Amino acid sequence: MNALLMNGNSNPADPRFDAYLQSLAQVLTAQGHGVNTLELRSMDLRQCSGCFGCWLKTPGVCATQDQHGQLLRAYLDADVIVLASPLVLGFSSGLLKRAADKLIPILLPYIDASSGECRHFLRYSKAPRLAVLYQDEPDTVDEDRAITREIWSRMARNANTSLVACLSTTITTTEVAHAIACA
Amino acid sequence: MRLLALNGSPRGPKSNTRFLTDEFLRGFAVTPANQAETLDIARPSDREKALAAFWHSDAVLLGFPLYTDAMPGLVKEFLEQVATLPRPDRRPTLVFLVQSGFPEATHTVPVARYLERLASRLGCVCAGVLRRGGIEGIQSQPAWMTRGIRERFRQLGETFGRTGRLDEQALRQLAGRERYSRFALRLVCWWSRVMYWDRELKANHAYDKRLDAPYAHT
Repeated sequence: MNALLMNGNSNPADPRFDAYLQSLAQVLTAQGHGVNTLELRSMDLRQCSGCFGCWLKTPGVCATQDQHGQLLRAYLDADVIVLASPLVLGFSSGLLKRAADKLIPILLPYIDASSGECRHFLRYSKAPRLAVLYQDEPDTVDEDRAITREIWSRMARNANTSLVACLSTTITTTEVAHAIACA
Repeated sequence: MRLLALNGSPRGPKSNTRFLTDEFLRGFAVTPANQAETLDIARPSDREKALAAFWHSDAVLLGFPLYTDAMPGLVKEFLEQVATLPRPDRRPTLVFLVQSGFPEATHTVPVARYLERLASRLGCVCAGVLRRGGIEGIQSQPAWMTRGIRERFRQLGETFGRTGRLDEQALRQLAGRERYSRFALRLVCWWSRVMYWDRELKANHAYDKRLDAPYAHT
């Protein structure tokens, strides 16, 4: 299995989350899995401008000159994507969300309603599975965790894949690795 | 009432979110003492003004398009900045506007739940979340086709401007159906493909490349 860890920690002053992800990468590697980590805060990823250029002008390629190509290649290389960030205001970080917005070139503009609900067709034959990893805030409650899971489940559905896990850093990296690899 | 209207669409002043916000504000302005300022947070200068004004308004309307099933990254990062600012004891009432391209209301349910929780987390009253699907292309439709939806936004703006509240039943009616019949969805698929996507692709001389997969493994 090849895993892509998308590190959406926007606060380098808090080393706990980065250290947890490094430990997770080591556990996965030791189990024989391929691991690629993208530290999103170090990448040049501009906001999606909603121009639809990636659908209607240069199909599959974002019009913005940034590192979206590296992100898309890494996404398509992986079997499972770990959407990882501390919770900020009760949801994944804005940095991680900005990166998720930049994934829409993997979709076609055309709408597929065969499931009884609209979503876009995939541009590629491959759809990696998604997992979410979060670090609680001091005031996180179960409702925040449920909302986070619900939103990313919707995103997975509309990316023609599934959310296989939504996990907290309160469990060990070995448990997270097991959940991701066995899903 | 002093209302700060924030357009969270990355498309800025020409966006569909701004179009709907402007209708809401027309209704809001019916009450004589009301004042509103609109800012586009995609513009850096407006974003700075929005950060400065957020906590000092009587009410804040934050609108955005649904991006990958939630708020655009732009909006989330803005909110994270807002939360770091000193908060006065008297906090603004929050109103949210979420519009989506897909027609079904079901797409905006999770983010609406988040926004209500967010307001509580910020210590603000949430007056309601205006949700509406099927908005992509609304500005290119003839006025008679969009009269009903524009009127609903205006009426909601008028109610909010007069009472500081929004009626739950009116919000449910605005959101529309959770799901549509298979026949209606097939029509949406066909119509959007023929009348919008393919036309635009051909106009951009990109139709032959529409299925390209530039990052596929070779």
